Amino acid sequence: MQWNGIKEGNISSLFRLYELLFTHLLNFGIKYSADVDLSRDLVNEMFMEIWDKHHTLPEVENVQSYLLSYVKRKVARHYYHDELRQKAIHTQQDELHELSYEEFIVNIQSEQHLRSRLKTALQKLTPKQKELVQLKFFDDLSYVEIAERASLTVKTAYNTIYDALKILKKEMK
Amino acid sequence: MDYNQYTSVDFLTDESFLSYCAGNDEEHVKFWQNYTTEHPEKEQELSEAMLMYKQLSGHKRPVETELANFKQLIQTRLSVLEQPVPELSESYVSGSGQFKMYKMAALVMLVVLIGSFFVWKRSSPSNSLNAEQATLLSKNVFTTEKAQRKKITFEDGTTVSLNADTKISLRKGYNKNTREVDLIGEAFFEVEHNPAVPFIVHTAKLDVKVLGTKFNVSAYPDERRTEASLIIGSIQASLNDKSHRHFVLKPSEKITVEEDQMATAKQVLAKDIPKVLVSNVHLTNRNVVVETAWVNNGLEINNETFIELQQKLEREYGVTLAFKDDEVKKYKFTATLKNEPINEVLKAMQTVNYFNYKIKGNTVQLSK
Repeated sequence: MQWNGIKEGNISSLFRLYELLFTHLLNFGIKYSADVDLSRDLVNEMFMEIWDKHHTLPEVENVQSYLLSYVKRKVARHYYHDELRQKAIHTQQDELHELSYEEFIVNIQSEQHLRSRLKTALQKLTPKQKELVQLKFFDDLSYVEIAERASLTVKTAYNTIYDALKILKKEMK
Repeated sequence: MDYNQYTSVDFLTDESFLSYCAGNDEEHVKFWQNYTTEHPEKEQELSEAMLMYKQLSGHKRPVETELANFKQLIQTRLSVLEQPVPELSESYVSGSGQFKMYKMAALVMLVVLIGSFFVWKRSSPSNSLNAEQATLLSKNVFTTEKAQRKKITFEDGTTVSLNADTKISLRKGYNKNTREVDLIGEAFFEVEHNPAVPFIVHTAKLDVKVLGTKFNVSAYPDERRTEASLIIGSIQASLNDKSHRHFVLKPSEKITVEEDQMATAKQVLAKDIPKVLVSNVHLTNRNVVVETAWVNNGLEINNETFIELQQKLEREYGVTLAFKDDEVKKYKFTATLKNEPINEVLKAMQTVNYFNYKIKGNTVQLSK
């Protein structure tokens, strides 16, 4: 719907699409780059490119997945041109790989002492707890959505997150 | 639901509190802002919860903020596309994971940025300013030390980010008929829209009046220039000299008041002292506005010499720079720094223009 609006040169469609998908696209970028600012820049750049060529945009069936792979391509291209960072984050990786929550969330903390504390704290969580904390806080899903995604009852999802937070609180003090 | 029994973990598992943290739902935001003011005894649990939220969610900003930012970017882009494109050459040098630094040749572009405002002044605060400040209640004065930043929300919803070594005072009757503040140092304002109650920032050299926008004011006593850059919206800047001349800025413009005649911008509006210039704000090729980079914990260095950077670095890091070789003072840097410790900053600067440094306590010795 917004896509066709953009093709017709309607800039408010661009803003609407941005509003709908930005967080999702930003999160996706972060999962491959562990860098919030870089992801934001690349997602913004992508939306500007889309606007630049709105007359010649292809017909797209699933706009969200089209944009997700657009972002991924941009991240890959960025690292290709940036060997130093490539070395730092993607050691001996030829292809981009999705980083774990622990890897990227620790990396995007700006304060050094916080990074190591958060890392240690996250290591105290079970894989399930880590997964649910990511879904709740990073992906911003509701308990109902999390329960569906993880095949749990809402109650269990809530309790798992509650217990995980108690551990994190204790470890990060 | 008894929030008064809540611990930080309880808050963090509360959907309403989480929408407040994410800042995407006005109703929840209002509720929790009120709750926070009405329950000072919960401050510790609440701020702990907020801090954990920020860390676990990855320090993201509300979509609304991102969209507003994007709108500015695309507006800039569209206006830049109509201009001859400046030549950029860049080499990306990277140290550790988070670190970014690059060299650029001549980088001057048009920017549209939400009301950014910079003011510097040379002399110490005038007596009248001190007198006014003395009459203020202490809770209406907010300060930061060197190497410290704060974000404050006023009762009308206006938020202010204070840069290091800054003092801001609300004048009596703030939010009654007017909203007036005095500033020494630098701050980024996000002013709640209310045309009935104008917002005015007073500094020694310039007064700035806005009707509701975002802008940045810097008025450090040790800086030579007073400068205001507007990003979006409209501000009126009035000189505090005998002339009381005022200038209405358009988006992407900044006004600079210099005490001595070192001005170099092309559009000189006044021949007398202080010199007043209206020019465009600076944008890096990653769409970062140099003048407001500090708000996001960044430090944008745009073709500046070490000696020009001295005060900025000393303020940011609470250190003293000691130049052992005069030549080093003239080394030029262009860089994007992101909340790095001082030794990382120096290391990165070395990759652009090599020098030696020694850190002894709070003193940084610099030599060839």
